Amino acid sequence: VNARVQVVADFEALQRLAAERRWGDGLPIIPPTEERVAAMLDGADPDRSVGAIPPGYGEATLEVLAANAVMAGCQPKALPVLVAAVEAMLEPQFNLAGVQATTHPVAPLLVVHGPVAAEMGVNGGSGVLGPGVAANATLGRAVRLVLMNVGLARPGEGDLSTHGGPAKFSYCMTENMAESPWPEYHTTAGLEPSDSAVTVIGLEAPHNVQDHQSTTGARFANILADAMRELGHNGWAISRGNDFAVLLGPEHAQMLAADGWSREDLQRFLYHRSCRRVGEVMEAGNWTGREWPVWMNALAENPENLVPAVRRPEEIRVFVTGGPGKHSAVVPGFGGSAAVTRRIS
Amino acid sequence: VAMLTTTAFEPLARMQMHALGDESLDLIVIAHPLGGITQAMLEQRCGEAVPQGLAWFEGEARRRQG
Repeated sequence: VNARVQVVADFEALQRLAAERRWGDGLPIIPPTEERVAAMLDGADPDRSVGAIPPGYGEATLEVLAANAVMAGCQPKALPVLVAAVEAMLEPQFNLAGVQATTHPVAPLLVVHGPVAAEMGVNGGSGVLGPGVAANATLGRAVRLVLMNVGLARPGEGDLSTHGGPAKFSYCMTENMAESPWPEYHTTAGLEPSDSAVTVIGLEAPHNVQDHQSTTGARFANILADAMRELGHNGWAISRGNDFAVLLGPEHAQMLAADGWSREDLQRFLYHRSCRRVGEVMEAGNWTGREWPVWMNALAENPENLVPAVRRPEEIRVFVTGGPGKHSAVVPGFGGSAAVTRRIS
Repeated sequence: VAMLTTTAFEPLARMQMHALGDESLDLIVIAHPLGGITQAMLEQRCGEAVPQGLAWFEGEARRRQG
């Protein structure tokens, strides 16, 4: 993984070599010349290791991370963000080995917080998770390239996802703080609004929740909860970290806030309203293999009891993001991975 | 130590054995999948695993006896 390979200075030749050696995501890569990698490192120690990336356990030195950031098309100041993201993914509760190798379509969503998001031009407005903004596209892609090139998570080898998914190309956003009624997400992890930070969360692709009719927060929150209750997501069975993300469009968030709701109120409401009867959950796809805490197994003794889609309200990670429109999204997690927030140093 | 895997996960198991420097680890490989199969198919999987497991136990015992 860390070997230097000399390549003739020819763009097309590099792309052919990358395809032969399965470097990258299938899209053309920016040649990681020594000059570009040095500019990305900006004086940082190239040999400093952030850790080994499973399942191939390649060593993520700063030089290797910088090379992948260059290949992804990142601007030089992206490296500290990428380093923080990799450090966060290597925290044990994130379970990167599981996220990488599972048959589930999980991908790490990278959320950039604080001043660095604006400095880098990360989009938190219209089309936040779509194409068109270089910072989102290249930062998310850099994370994926590290997972593939250093962790060897290649389809059918180190990444056994049955279908994969578009989120595995690039999955990066920030919150729309100009329109959000609430403090930025990283303050819920004990950081200051002035801190720059990243959060990584193992998630599926977003599922849209449209609501053009509600005029009260409670009516809208019920619709959100309904979208969290479907039986197919992993969380009904697995509870080693069971994150759900809720991406609130600013108009929906402002409607909630106008009715007096805080982020924590919404988390508690969704925790209760996303419950299903045990008898229904028994029909879910991994009932016999479920890994529930003792209190949920006690509830399971009566099919009429209600059990929640997540184990704690805090596992519902609420972000205000996106542009104008009456749309929000719920995003189920992997079930075996917990979100990590890390300050950017 | 031996590791049990299905055929679909065998390449991943071998990659990790190589990456973690333990390519001598014994693998017990059974047919994929394990989830969503009938009792009869499950018994078939057991039928695949048991002889391999016994062979591993016997080999391990011989190794330990020198």
